[in-house]
Amino acid sequence: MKKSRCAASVAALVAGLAFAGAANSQTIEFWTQHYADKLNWNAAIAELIEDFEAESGIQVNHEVVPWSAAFQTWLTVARGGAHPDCADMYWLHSFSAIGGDQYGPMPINEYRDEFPTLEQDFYSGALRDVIWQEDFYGIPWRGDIRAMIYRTDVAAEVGIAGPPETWDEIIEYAKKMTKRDENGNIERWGFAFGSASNVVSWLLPYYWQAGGEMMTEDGKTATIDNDAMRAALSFMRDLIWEHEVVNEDSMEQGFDALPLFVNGKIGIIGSAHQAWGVRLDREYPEIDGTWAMARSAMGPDNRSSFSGAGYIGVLRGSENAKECVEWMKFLSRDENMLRLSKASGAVGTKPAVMGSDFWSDRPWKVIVGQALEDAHTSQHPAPAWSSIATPKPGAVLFDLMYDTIILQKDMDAAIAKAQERMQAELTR
Amino acid sequence: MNEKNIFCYIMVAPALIITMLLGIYPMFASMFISFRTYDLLNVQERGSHWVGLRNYYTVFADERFVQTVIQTILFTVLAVGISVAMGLFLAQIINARFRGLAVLRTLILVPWFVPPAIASVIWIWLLNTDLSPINSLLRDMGWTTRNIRFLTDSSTWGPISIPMLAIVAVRVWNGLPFIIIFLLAGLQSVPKDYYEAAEIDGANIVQKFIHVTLPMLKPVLLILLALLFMGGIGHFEMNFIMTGGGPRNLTNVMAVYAYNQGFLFFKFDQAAAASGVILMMSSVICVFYMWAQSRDNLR
Amino acid sequence: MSSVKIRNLRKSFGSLEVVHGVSLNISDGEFVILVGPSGCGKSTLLRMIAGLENITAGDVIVDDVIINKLPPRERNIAMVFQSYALYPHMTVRRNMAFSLKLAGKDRAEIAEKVAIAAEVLDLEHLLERKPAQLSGGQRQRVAMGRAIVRNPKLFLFDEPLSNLDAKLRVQMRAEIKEMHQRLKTTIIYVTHDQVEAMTMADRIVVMNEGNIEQVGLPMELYYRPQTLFVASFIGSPAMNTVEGKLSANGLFRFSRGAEINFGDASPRSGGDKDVVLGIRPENINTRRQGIPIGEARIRVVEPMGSETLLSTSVHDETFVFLDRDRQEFSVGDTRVLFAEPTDFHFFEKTSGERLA
Repeated sequence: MKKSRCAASVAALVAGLAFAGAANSQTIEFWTQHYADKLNWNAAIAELIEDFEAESGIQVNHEVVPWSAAFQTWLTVARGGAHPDCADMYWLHSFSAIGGDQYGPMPINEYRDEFPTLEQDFYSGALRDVIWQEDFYGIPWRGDIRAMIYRTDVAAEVGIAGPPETWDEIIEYAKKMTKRDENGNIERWGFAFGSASNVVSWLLPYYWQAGGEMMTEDGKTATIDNDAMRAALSFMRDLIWEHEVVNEDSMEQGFDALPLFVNGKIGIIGSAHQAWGVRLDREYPEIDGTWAMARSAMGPDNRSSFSGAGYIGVLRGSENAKECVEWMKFLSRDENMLRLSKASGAVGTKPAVMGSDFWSDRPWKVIVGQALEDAHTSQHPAPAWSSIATPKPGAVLFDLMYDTIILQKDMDAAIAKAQERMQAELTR
Repeated sequence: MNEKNIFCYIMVAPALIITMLLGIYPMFASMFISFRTYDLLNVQERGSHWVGLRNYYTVFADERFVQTVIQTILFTVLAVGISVAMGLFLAQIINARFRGLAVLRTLILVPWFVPPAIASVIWIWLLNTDLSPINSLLRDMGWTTRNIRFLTDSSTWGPISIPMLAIVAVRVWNGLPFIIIFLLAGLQSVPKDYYEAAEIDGANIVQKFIHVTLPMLKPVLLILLALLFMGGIGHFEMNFIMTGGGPRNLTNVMAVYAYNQGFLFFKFDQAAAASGVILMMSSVICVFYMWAQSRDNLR
Repeated sequence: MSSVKIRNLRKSFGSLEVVHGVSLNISDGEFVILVGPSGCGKSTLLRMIAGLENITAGDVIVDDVIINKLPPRERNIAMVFQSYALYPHMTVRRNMAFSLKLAGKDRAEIAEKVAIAAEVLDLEHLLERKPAQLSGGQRQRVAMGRAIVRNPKLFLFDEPLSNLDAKLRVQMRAEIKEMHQRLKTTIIYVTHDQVEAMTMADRIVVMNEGNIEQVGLPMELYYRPQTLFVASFIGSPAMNTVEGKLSANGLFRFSRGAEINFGDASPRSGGDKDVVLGIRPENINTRRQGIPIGEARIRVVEPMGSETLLSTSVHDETFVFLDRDRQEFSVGDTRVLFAEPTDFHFFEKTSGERLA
């Protein structure tokens, strides 16, 4: 009696596994980082997956990689670690170089024809982030544009009508907004360079606004020893030491601008994540109406804004590239791109998305749309870029910024040294 | 091989396997890498080849690293010294009997329940220049007028700086309960007779401490110091989370340096070399400890 | 060398009183031994004199000064512990020199005093050793040496011989007594062994359950124990005790009915009384000397060499007697036991007090 029941369960188990196995042949592993509200994000992806599955019969398993572990994760993948079939990725150049021909992002040139209208549909700047060494790697899906953000109530308090439009106005307005108590302790800083903890990202927009570029287009030569760099570094340095409107400890670890801004202890932030708009709307409704975004101020040459990007691509070693491409095609449709954009709060990579109602229903969103015109990609075509730009002491750009802006060392010497070091990195 | 031996090996096997996989193997692998080139960005094309001690030369040629080594030692000496001294004192207090002891005991043990990483995050807020309650308390009491920049003040007295002292304080805070428990166990194994004999011989509190407590605690103290120094040399979390090694490299320790070299700059050969230095220093302490132990046993 | 007076000393641990209002006078230079079973309070009393226990009530007076509040180190006493408490990390020399060093004496003086003590106690060849390398007896002597060097007013000994084997104990007893004769310092000594008490003391203090039972010279306690407890405690082998009734005319009746007629030799206390009769084993003989106790049936024979201990049954009571005449005995033999009437002791049954 027992034996036959046992046999029956085993048979059922085997059958079930076989069935699952059969079903599994149409499942792809898909990893993303998380954006804005995590639960919301997961739900949004789940919905997309459901719709996709209904359409194509392909199952998608979604896993989230937290940002705190993202870099390690992709580094490990590029070195041969466990990897999904496709994923939301960034820093294509670095990880491709690290992974070489064996691991990391997989070029999908053979599927290029599945996306016939790529150039028309997407921003050209966004497309730069998915091409490397003339290979095609995937679909750009999010932009990360940075704009200025400031406290309108503080501005009103000190008699300022609108955001600063030029570097000089930044200095002037910030001075008005800065407040100290009788002992010299700061009660409010007029200006902060940027919102992100990646301090190197603060330098880039000012450098670009002064007309500079980090390297040549082929990624082989560093181009930072010039007047634009001097202008940008001097501007930042003087804001701290001469005009005294910026916290000298900004570059130290642990500096977090968000709570300070929310509490009114910072007047203007020069380069803020546009996702802040989503966060402030959702998490701090009590300060609604007291802040606004604005386009980057005009530097000596232009008003470039920092812009990052992420794309969806396939990983080497995956055997489901075809299914992944189907998934990518599905996601790249206007309405799905819009859904992704809504859930993440990230800027879309297609004009179709940015022209939607979603991106015009709040004043800050309108600004963000305008800032896209000033976008300057932060990706650079060199594998060593992440090493050069990493915001820690010992990295080329961090040391350059710290030496000149904080330590006020001789600028020419520092820039020359940085140029040398960066060149050495580029030829690694 | 009789049955009993086999049984013993089987029982020990799981722990042994885990130690080998997660401890011994990575250690040797890292040492191995430290004698070769290993630039993650080009290891695919150029491979990794033997260079002997070159990585160590490179690393010691970096004045940042030299400063880091000195700071690591300083950090460890300060943290261990202060916490053991305080621990001895507090252990004596807990060992006595008086009203309110239970409350005091709980308070003293609380920092132990906080993992170092969490402790770091908590203290980042408590030590933030503009928001610190400590700063506002000091100002209210009139002891200072300017906020103290606990984690960002870069003035130095020799190799010592305020951020270093701040992190030492957090380390002491976090590690004190463990030390107290250790010392308490040692204290409670000292027979009361010796204290009574010393009392009758004319010793006061300090003299009893020096001539009875300390000598009787010597074996416990020895192992405690050895453990703390070996662990302290390789400490990572607090410096990494609270200051990242800054400001201006003033709170950098070897483990953080190694991490940065490897995971930010992709220079795993230098990271391995820095780790190798940690390994060597720990080994020296370990050897010294074993020598001191054997000397005691020989008596 | 000092006189010590203890006045109504009490000690309680929480609500439990363990020493009940004890008073005692000790003269300068006297060797007094506190003796009693475990838990009788003798060690507690000693420690109160030393200052190691707080005094709940009463006074300790040394040389007419009340020293209750003084910490031990200011009382100028030396103590030898049961466990010796030698500092394990110090050599013998340093152990002995320790108190002098704490007192700030100069090196020459310390060296001299240590040398003298070492000579007295035959420790000269052990001075550089550590306690772990010494035998029990050697450690004992070091502990005494540590006490001697200080030249204190008072020596306190807390069961110092308990951890030694029997043979060593006998040897040390003599040494301690000799030391006392030499130094003439007041000694207060605690032990549970009545043999030590009898052999070493100038005076013995018998304690039981926190009270003093009797204080007196060893022979006094032996010949005229004031209480049944003292009678049973002092003397080895212990005194035989039998319960019974004593009539006004001197007739002692055993519980089973047998009688001994003491006539004039019995205590005159009038009327019928419940009493306990006591007679020491060494006072019983089989040579028909004195009055008969009864016919004894021998149950256990314990030959000890110079004498033989016999355990017998008389009138259904156990009587132990000591035979020094080198007779031959077998189990089951019968003898008639005799003893001099003046060797008997009478105690009131309920109070344990001696009947004059």
